[in-house]
Amino acid sequence: MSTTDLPIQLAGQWLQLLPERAVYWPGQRALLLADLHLGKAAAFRRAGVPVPAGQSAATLTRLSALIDHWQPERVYWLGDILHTSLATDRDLEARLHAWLEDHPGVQFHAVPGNHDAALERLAPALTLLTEGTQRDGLALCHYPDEATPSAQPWVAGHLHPVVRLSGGGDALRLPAFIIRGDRGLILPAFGEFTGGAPVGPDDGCRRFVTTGARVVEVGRD
Amino acid sequence: MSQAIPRALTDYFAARGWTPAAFQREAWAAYRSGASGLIHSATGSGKSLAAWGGPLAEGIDNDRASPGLMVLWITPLRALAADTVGNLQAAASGVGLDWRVEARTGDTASSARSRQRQRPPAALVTTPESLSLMLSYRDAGRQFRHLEAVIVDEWHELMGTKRGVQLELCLARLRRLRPGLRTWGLSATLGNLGEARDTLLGADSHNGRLIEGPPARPVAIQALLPDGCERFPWAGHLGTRLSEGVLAHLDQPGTCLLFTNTRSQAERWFETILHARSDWLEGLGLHHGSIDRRLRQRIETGLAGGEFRCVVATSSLDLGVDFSPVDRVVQIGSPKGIARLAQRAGRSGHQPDGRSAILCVPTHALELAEIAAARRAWQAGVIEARPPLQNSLDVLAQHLVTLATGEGFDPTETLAEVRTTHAYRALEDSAWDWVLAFITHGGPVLAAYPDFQRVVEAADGRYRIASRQQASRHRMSIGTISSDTAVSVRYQGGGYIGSIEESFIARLKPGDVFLFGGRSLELIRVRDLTAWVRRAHRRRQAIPRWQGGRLPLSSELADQVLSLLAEADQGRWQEPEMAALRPLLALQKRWSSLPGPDRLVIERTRSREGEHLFIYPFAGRLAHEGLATLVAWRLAGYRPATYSMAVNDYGFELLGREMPALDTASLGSILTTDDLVDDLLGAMNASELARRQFRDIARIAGLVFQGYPGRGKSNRQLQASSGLMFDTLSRYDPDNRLLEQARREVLESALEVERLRHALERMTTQEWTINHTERLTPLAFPLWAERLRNRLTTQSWEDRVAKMIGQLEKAAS
Repeated sequence: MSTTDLPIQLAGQWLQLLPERAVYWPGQRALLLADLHLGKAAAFRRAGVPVPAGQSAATLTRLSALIDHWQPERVYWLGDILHTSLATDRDLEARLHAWLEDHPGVQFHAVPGNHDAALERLAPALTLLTEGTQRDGLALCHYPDEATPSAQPWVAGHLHPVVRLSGGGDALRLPAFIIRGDRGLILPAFGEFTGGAPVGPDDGCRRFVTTGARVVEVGRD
Repeated sequence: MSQAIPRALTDYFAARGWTPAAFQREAWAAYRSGASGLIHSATGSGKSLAAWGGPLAEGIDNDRASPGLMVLWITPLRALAADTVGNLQAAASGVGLDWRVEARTGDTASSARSRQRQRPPAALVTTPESLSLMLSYRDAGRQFRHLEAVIVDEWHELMGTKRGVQLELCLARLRRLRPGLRTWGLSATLGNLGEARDTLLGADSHNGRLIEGPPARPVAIQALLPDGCERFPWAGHLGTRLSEGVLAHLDQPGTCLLFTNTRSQAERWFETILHARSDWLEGLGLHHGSIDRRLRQRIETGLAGGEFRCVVATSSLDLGVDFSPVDRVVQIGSPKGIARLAQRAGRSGHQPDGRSAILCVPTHALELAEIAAARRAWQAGVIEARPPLQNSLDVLAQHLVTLATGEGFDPTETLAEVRTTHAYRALEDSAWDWVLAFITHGGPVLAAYPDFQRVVEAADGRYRIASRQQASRHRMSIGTISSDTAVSVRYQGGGYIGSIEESFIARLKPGDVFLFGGRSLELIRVRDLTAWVRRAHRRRQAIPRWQGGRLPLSSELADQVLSLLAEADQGRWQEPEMAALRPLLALQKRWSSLPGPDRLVIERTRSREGEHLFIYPFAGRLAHEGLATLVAWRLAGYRPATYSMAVNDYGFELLGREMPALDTASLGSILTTDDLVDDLLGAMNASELARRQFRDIARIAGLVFQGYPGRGKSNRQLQASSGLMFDTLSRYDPDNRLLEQARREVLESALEVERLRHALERMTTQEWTINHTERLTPLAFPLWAERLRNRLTTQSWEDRVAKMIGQLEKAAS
C-alpha cells in the first residue's frame, strides 16, 4: 500500500506523510489523523438536505485498512471525529462501538474538536486527551497554534487544508499537509464528506499535496 | 365586439397631452375581451399603460371599490418596484379609481406584509421570488381569490432564465386557483416573440395575442475610428489608445451614458475619465450591479435630473430603469448582440432627426468588423432570439417544496398543472417520479436516504412539508435562484460599498489593493461573507473580473461578420470600419486566408512553445470552448497528449508539444457531429465544468443551504460546498438526476451545444483552407495573447505582448 509516503522531520521526530491523508509516526508506532466528521451526511439528511448515505462507513473502512497495513499500537485522532453529537445519532454510536471492538490491539486516543459532542460515550475504548497533550516533544492539538507563537512543536487538524494546482487550462484541488513555521504540522481532513480550505504559497509554509497515491511537496513559487 | 374606451381613461391621456396609441387601444380591447398575450414595443413608447389600461378600463366600467387583490404586476428587479408602484398608482388615481397599488419584495417590512394580508391592495408589484414566497403560505388560495390578471414586465429578461421558469410554475398554479386568469407580458425586441408569448402563457397560448407597438426609432450605429489602425489586435489594447477620442466626444455639452461589457471595464474607464478630467468629479457616476443599490438609485435619479455629465454603466442600466433620454450613448467594446446594442442606443434621444445614435469604441481592431456587422444586421431587421429553458428539475423540486409548504399538493393534479407550462410540457413521468422521490426520500425510492425528511405524504394523499422548521428554512431559500455567492464590501467603520463575487475576493490576501466602485481599496480581512476594507493610498493592483464579461458574440452578429470578411476578400470595403481594417485584413490574406460563410480557415504554426492549431468557426466563445475541448479530446484519441487551449468569439487555439499532421480527411473525422454529445461528455468529465455548473443547481434544489440572511454562520453544522455535494453524489448516487441536469446545462448553456452542432454542420458545406504559417496571423494573435493572459501575471503579460507586437510589426513591414 503506502510505498509512496513522504518522511519529514518535526522536532526531531520522523513523521511519514501518507497518501491516505494520515500520518504514521514510527517513534510512537502511531497513526495520526484528523477531521473524520463521522455522521455528517446523516445530520444533513435529518435537516432535510438530501445527501446519500455511505460516507461514514467508507471513512471507517479506509481507517481499518490503514490499521491493517501499519499495525500501529495507537491511533491519535486530532479532533472532529464526529460531526454532531453522538447523543443525536444512536445508530452511529452503535457502529462506532462495534468498530472499536473490532480493533482490540490498538489504543485509541482523541483530542476533542469543536464538533465532538458526547464523545465520552465511547469510553473506555477511547481515551480522551486534552488539547496540547505532549507526546515525545510534540503537542497533539485540534486547533493549529496560530495566535500565540510558542516554541513547542505541534500537530493539528481543524483547517481541512487543500491546495489548488492549475496549469494548461486544468485545475485541481488536492488535500494537503501543511508545515507552518517549521514547527507545526496541519493534517488534511481524513473524512469522506469534508470540504477544504485553500492554502496558498505563503511565506514560511511548506505544502505537501496528496494525489491519493503519492505525497508530493509543491513549490513555494 | 369592441367596447368603447371609458371616458375617464381618454380624459387622463388628454390631460397630459397624449392620445392613446393604436397598440394601446388594441391591448385594452384584447384585455377586456378576456384574452391574454404579449405586448412588444420600444422603451418609452407607453408599454406599461398599454398593459395597465385594460384593468383600469374594467375598473371604471364596473365602478366599484376593489374587493381585494386584482392585479399582480411582476417585475424582474426589486429596485424597479418603487418606481413602478408610483407610475401605476398615478394612473389609477388619475382615472378616478380609489385603488391602492403597493409593492411586496424582499425589502418589504413584515409589518407591511401582514397589513397587505389583512387589507390587500388592488394591485401588488412584486418579483418572481416574492410571488413564489406568497404561494408558500397556507392562505394562498384566499389571498388570490379576486385575482383578475398577472402582468409580467420585462418578460424578455426573465425568459431563458431559471427565474423565468419559476414564474411559469407560479403562473400555472395561479391559473388553477383562478380559472380565466389573464396573463400579459411586456417585452423588448426579440427574434422569437411568438415563442416568448407561448412560454409566458403556457397551455393558454392557443388564443394568445401578440400586440406590436410602433416601429422603433431608427438607430445610427457609428464607430470611433482609430487613426492608424493597430495592426495586431489584442483584448483591451485599442481601448486605452482611443480614450482621447472618447474624451473629446464627452467634452461636448450635455449628458452621456458610457456602456461597457464588464464591470471591470467600467471600473477602468471610470478611473481613466476621472484621471483625465478631474474637474468632472461631481458629474461623473459609476453604475454596475455590484454597487450599493442606494448609490445606484441616486445615479438614476441624478441622470433624470441632468445632474450627471457622464455615467459609466454596465448591463445594470439595460433593464427598465426609466429616465429621460441622454444626449449621447457610447458603447465600449464589442456590442456582442444586435438587440442589446439597439436597446442601449435607445437611451439616447433629442437628436434633431428623432434618431437614436450610439458611438461604438472598439477595444481591439477586429471589433470594428463587429460594429459594421451590427449596423448591417440592424438595417436588415435581423435580431437575436432568446430560447426558453426546458425541464429544469432543480426549479421544479424547489417549486414542489414551496407548494408543500403552502397548501400542500395532490401529485396527480399537480403533475397536470406543471405540464401546462411551456418549460415542463414534455416532462416525462419518470422525471416527475424522481423529483417526487427526491423531495420525500432524498434519493430513489428503493434506495431511500436514511433519516431524510423534507416533504411527507400525508394520510389524505397530499404532500406536505415535514416540519415548521423545514418550512421556514425553505422560505429562506426561495429567493436564491439568481444570486451568485456575493460577499459584501464594507469599510472598517461599517459603510457599505457594494457586493462582489466570492471567487474574486478568495484570490486576494489581506493587504492586497483592488479597484472597486471607483475607489482603491485595501483588503483587511474576510469574515462571514463580508470583506472589510480601508481606503488604499497605493495605486491599484487588481481589478475584479466578474463573470458577466463572458457573454458570447451572438450568432446573428457573427454571421454578419463572416459576410463582411467575405466581401473584404473580394476587395469590397463599403463600410468605413472595414476600410479602416483593410491593412490588417490584407495582411491576414497575405499570410493565410480570410474566413467567410463559405470558407473555414485553419492555421498551423510552430513556435518554441510547440505546435499551434488555430481554427476559426466564428461560433462565439462558448461554442468554441466546447469545440476546443472536443477537438483536443479527439486528437488525444489519436495519440495521448496534453493540449492547452484558448478561445475567443472568432475561433480557438490548441497548443501541444507535438501534434499529428492534419489534412482535410483527418480533420474531417475530428470535426464531425458523430457522437458529438458522448464525446463532449467524455471530454468534460476530465474537466470541472459540470462541477461548476452544479453550484446553482445545488442551491436551487436545496442541497446547499446558505444560512439565514444576517445571521452569519449560525448554521455551521450544515455548511457544505456545492462541489463537495457534487463529488459525494457522483460517488454514492451517480444516477441522481441533478447530476444529469448539470451535464445537460453545461451542454446547453455553458457550451451552447446546439450552436456547436450548427457550426460543425456548417463546416461540412464550407471549403477548408489549411495554411501553414510562419508566424502568428492577425486572427491568431489575440488567441495567443488570451492564452498567455490566463497563465502569466499582468505585468509580464503586457511586456511579452508588447515585445511580440514589435517582432510581428517588423515581419509585416
